[in-house]
Amino acid sequence: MSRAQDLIQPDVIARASRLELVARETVEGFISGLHRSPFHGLSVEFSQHRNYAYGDDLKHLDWKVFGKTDRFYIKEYEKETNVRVYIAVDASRSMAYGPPGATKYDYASRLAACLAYLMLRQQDAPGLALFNAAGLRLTPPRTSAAQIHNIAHALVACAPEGLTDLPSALTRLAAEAHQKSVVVVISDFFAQIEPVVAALRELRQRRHDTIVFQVIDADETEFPFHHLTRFCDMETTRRVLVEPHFLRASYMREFGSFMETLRTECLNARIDHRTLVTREPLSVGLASYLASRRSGGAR
Amino acid sequence: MSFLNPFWLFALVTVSIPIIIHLLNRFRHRTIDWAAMDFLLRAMSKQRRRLQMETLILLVIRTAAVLAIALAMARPLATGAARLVAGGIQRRLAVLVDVSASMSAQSAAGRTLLNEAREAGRLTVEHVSGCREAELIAFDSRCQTIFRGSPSHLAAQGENIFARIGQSYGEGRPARAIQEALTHAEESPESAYTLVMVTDAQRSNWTSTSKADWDAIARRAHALKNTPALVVLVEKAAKNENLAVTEMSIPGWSLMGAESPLVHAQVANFGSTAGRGQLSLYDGEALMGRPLSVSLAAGESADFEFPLSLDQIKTGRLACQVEGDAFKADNRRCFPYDPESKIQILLVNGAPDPVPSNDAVFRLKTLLVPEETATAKATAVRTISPSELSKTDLSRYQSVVLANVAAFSPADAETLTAFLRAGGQAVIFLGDRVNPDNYNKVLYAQGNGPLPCELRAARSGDPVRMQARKSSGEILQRLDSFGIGLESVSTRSFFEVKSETIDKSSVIVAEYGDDHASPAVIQKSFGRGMAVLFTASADARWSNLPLDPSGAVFLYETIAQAAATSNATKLLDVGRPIEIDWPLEEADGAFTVTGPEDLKSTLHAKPQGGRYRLIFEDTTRPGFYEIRSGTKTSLVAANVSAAESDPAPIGARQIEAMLPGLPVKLIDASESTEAAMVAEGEMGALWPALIALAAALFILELALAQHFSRIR
Repeated sequence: MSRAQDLIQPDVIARASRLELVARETVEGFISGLHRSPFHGLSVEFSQHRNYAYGDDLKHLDWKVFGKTDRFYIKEYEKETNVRVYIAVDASRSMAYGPPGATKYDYASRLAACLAYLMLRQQDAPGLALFNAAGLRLTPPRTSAAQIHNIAHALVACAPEGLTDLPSALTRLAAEAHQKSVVVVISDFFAQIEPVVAALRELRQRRHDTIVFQVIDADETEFPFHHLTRFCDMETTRRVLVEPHFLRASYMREFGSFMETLRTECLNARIDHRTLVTREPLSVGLASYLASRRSGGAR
Repeated sequence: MSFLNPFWLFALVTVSIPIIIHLLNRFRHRTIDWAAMDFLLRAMSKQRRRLQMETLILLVIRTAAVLAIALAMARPLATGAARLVAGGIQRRLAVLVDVSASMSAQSAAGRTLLNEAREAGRLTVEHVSGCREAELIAFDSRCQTIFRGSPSHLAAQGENIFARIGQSYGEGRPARAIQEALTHAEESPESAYTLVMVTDAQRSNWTSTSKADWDAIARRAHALKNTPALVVLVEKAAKNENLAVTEMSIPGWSLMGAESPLVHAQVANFGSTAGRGQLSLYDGEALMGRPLSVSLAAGESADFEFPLSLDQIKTGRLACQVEGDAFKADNRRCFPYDPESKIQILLVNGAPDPVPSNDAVFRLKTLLVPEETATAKATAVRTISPSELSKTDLSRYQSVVLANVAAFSPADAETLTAFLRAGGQAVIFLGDRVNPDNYNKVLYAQGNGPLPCELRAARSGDPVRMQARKSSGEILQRLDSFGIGLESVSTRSFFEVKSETIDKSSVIVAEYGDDHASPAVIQKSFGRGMAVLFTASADARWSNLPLDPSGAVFLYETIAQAAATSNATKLLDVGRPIEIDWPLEEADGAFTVTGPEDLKSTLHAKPQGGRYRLIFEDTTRPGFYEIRSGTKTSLVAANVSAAESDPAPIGARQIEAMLPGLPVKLIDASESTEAAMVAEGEMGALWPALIALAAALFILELALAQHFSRIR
């Protein structure tokens, strides 16, 4: 794992910033400036009424007051509140797969940091939830500039270990997160798919805008091994000796089926699902996603 | 199925190689920490049975391919009557075992080559099936059919039958053996014969047969409906030193007035390494004088001489012996010598002259009979007139010298011819009395008589020198080695000859230094004997030959050669028959032969032409053979032929050149005889098919591996 500063990749930020980040849905609050947040969030407080003036947006008319008084009043809010974004990063042992410095966890950490930075720039409040079998370590959402450092430090301080317990972590996160938050889940999702999907659905039922980033290594999709190899499970003691080329086709069918199931279930639950391969540059994957989200094409 | 290289069957253990590799690979693998284990395990659980089956199939194919290669290396043969009698041809097998002297040499295994040959021959018969008849022939210079009959009987009784093959010490004559086998083959010309000769394949044994004889053999073979195949199984002697006594003699010149004649011996090293030893001279079992040291490099030979003390000779059974080596038969050479025996010379004086210097016979007698003081009196001379020639029993003499005989009657010519055919020597001196027309008609007889050529007229003139021809005979070459030449011999008169009448059996030994290089001495082989023509006279009027020291030695040696020629009946190679003419008055009618290894035999002979003609053929052992009748004994020495000492082998191509058109295969006897059968297409060699099968299996394995990989 690199140092905290390394997590903020300027090129990623620059490329992502060039996109017009327009929020697909504005729930309750707006991000100050020209750009709408790409993330859903309702975090605004009513301040006062004022008389309608030409040019005001009619949708802000307080129709209840008009009904009582036959006068047009526009609702004004005391303060624009920001979106709370919970970035949940899988810190189980399976995320440690990959060459040193380019493991899935490294990739996930960079992705989380980039997202947090983007949130902060848009006055949103990013938070971090690191989870593995040991439990959930939550860094509450904040809008302070120091939050990026908190998140980065939390990511750096954590080493991927233990079993994946994704459903428990998501259930707990769903309970602890404010309603209508944005929940970004970054994981390889190597677990029983039914409980995971159930947990993701629960997030949606609590009206959280849920986004799934599935981080995988190219080896896991291509299975590029040739010689007799003993595969040792990174999370358990299971091990198996196989001739890889004998199993490649069958393995890839199994893996493809899992990926397709997860994607389909996310689609059905109106959850954005994006697969990121560690071999591909992070900026490409992230920018691609944000672009599609802006255009409403995500899922 | 049988195998040519059964040793390679040990390679069958290599079939375990794929299995061992399979097992070893389970230890030689890389280890990877893997995250997506669930998918891998699910894939495995679905593929397990299929994987196991595929792995097993591939393993079986690999193992089968290796098995095929291992079997191919062992060179299996498809035996059985089906192949051997294909086409309905009746097949016969003749096993020819070489029992010549060289087969008594030791092999690398320490056994004699003959023992190895017996074993190889026996295995041959055991392994070959499908033959209708088999025969077993032992041969050296003669052939002996040991067995003819059912191959199964020969195979079943192999050890007993092959044990009947005895070691002989004669000279190997493979041509004789093949001729014998062809004689049998001609009895059933429809059969296809395979001749399997087990021999050490000495080149000298094969090349001693003339090309004409080999051509005749080839013609006989091709005359058969099915040309026989010849398989030569070569037994190899151990490579080490091989000293042999190749020659032993007492030179005639050393007898001429000498106190102590010299015994000459030649020792050669036919081995592949340097040879050292001691050469000793024996009289019977008694050592004579000091042994001589012998040190010879490989392929080298050297001459040795022992002074012979005549008064020490007790038995006359002289032998030179060098210390033993792996081939002992040629380490000893025997030589019968009777100090009392003399070269019997008959002088026919055609022109007696009261003046001794003008009398040729006087000069010859002076030359041939050494001075009174000499201990060794090698010659005994009797003089007759030409008219007595036809009435004289010439068999008592080794040499007849005709000096200036004017003419010969047909009876004289017949007597001389018979004498020469029996192995005698005639030395013909011409002179002023000679009638060349009579000589040409009676003695030359259009090339059928003993005279080497037709004579022209005598010519006289300035003296001319005599000189040896480059390709002169053995005598002049030997004299030349002693620094003795004929340059001091001058001749004023001589007969010219018709050179075109000199045939191949004649050799010009010396010539004159005139413009035409007229022949001076011509030697002709005639029957078992020899005729030597001097174109000048023996008296001093025509030539100083009898007076000149070098000429005298030349004359003496020429006549002594006659003794050596006649001595051939007493000195022969093992295997050659002893042939002796025995005077009637010296025989009591019964002849006994005693020989080496307690040989005792009785000969029965009938009188023929005033003498007994004795022939004893059973000279299978080297050593002395004594023939006795009444009080007279005759001693004969049989020695291993010097050719048997030379182990240089012949090659297959040379044999093919000798027997053009005959399928010939020459292989190491350590291989089974069946290898040769394969060469002749009589048995099916399976190794090409096995190699093809192995290749096909490897290709199949690759294709299946790829196919399995695709369908997974």
